[in-house]
Amino acid sequence: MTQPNPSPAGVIHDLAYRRYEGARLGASTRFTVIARYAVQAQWRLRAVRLFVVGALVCAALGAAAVGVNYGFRRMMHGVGADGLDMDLTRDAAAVSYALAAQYLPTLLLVLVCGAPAVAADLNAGAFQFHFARTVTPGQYLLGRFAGALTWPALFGYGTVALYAVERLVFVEGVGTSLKLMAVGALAVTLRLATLGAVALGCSSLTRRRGLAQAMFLATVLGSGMVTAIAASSTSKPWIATLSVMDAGTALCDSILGPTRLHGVALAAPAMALALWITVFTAVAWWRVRSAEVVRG
Amino acid sequence: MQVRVTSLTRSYQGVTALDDVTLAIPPGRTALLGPNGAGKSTLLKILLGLTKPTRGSVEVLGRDPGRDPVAVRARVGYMPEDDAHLPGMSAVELCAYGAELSGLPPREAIERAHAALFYVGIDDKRYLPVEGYSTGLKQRAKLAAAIVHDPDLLFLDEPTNGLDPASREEMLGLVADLKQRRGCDVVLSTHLLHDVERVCDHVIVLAGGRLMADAPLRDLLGGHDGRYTVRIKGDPDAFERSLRAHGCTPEKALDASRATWLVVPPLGAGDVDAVWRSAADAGVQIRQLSPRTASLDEAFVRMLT
Repeated sequence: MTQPNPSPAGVIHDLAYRRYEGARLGASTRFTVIARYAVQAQWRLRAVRLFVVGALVCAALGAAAVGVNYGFRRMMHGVGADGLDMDLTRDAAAVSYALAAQYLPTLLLVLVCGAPAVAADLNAGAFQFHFARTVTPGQYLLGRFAGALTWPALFGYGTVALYAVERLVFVEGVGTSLKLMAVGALAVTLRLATLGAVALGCSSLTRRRGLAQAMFLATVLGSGMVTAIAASSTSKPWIATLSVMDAGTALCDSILGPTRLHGVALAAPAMALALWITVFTAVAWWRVRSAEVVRG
Repeated sequence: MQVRVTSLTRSYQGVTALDDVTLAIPPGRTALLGPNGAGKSTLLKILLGLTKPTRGSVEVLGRDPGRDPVAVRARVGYMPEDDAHLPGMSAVELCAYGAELSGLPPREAIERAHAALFYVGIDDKRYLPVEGYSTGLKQRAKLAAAIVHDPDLLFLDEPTNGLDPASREEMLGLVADLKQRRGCDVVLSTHLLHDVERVCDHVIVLAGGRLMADAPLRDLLGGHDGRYTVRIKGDPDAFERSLRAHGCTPEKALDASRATWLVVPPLGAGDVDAVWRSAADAGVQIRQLSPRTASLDEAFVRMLT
């Protein structure tokens, strides 16, 4: 046997090597690492920066409009006048419309951050990179889910918080403001959960980022169109609440009371939401579990 | 022993990838040799806890990877054969990410990422995205990512694939150094016999899912096979005639100038004097006369046939 040369000149530089003897973090927090690195990588993409900035501009404009509205009404009624504690119906409708206006920026953010996430890993062999380490499929999916939704969540919850603060400043009735904020946050959560599950489910079905994004858009917009047409042709508005686009918002509308969807029943959008999330999460789970992680 | 495998069988939909394999991997540098379809990748998958055996038991660093894969992977490094990077990530980020996924705190992870890249010789390009690297640099980045968390045992899957000769020697130098300097035991899955002879001291041969050999390299190579390698200066034709006249068998010339011969003496390995007499009679100088040992290639072919 040829005796190995341990240090070919110019290759090995290891003068200060010391073995790591410190503590290692628990395996249950791996998803936070995956999410953090995903968010950093996303921020390097021009499209993500563009959509994040665009979404924040939209939120600021919306907040400004609401602020002007509140300010104008305050001028009309006078500071501290009882009339400023507006009826819930008007505010609920305002929140409902605000949530609807949030949809496009949220959709675009999930499209660029979430839809390609698993597909890109499949294409680059990153499954091997993750699963040869102390990462379980559940931690991986949770990390990708959190990474995909960080920017959309920042926008969604930020917008709700902004509106709530404005209402607290301009309008009396803290309880009402908090209720509206809670329902708005619930709507954002349901929307993100649905979009995130659909994005990861579609993403796990292909190695091609573009195809994953196309499947995601087709599912979201397609389900919206199909249910809208069905609702219109059958004169049953609740059918429209079954789509990926509307299920979350419709659920919150039904909690808020008389709203843009005119008081739809709670059951239909709730079941639709559960179905979308369950089906697409199951698809992603099955694909990740069964993926060939070591080839050769 | 770093790895113990007992009566391991793994079947996929009627196809037996590993058939009643029992082996033990000692500390040091071990080669996992075998042709395509031998079951090397399946064995690696099972050792990493990515696949469960159909029958039999496996122990890696004293733990069962099927029952406790996370604990095993925390102490094991793996360098896959295929590309395994994340799009857009630089080598530093990739290594730091790998270290954090193995449980190192963020600050320690980034420090060790730089140290690992320094070790494998990636200096100025460590901040560039890995997908733009040459094959040699990608292999080095993969090695750095595999060792960044200080594993006790490292699985390397074809680490010299696609490398030019200089890069290959450098990679083999690193593999050899891992045990000597870092105390990291290595399992090298490969089909390149030269790589095995170069760095390994224990060899496991798989073929058709069955274990063909599990022995120290020197045992596989065996001792002197009775032949001698003879290098001469002078007339090769006269030397060949003289060898035959003295009862030697000149099997073949080993180079184009016919200066180096493979010779079998008439009475076996002890009768090397016949070679000296042949040279003297032919008027040629002997520059080298060395007993020949069987190569790993020959041992490998012998095992498979």
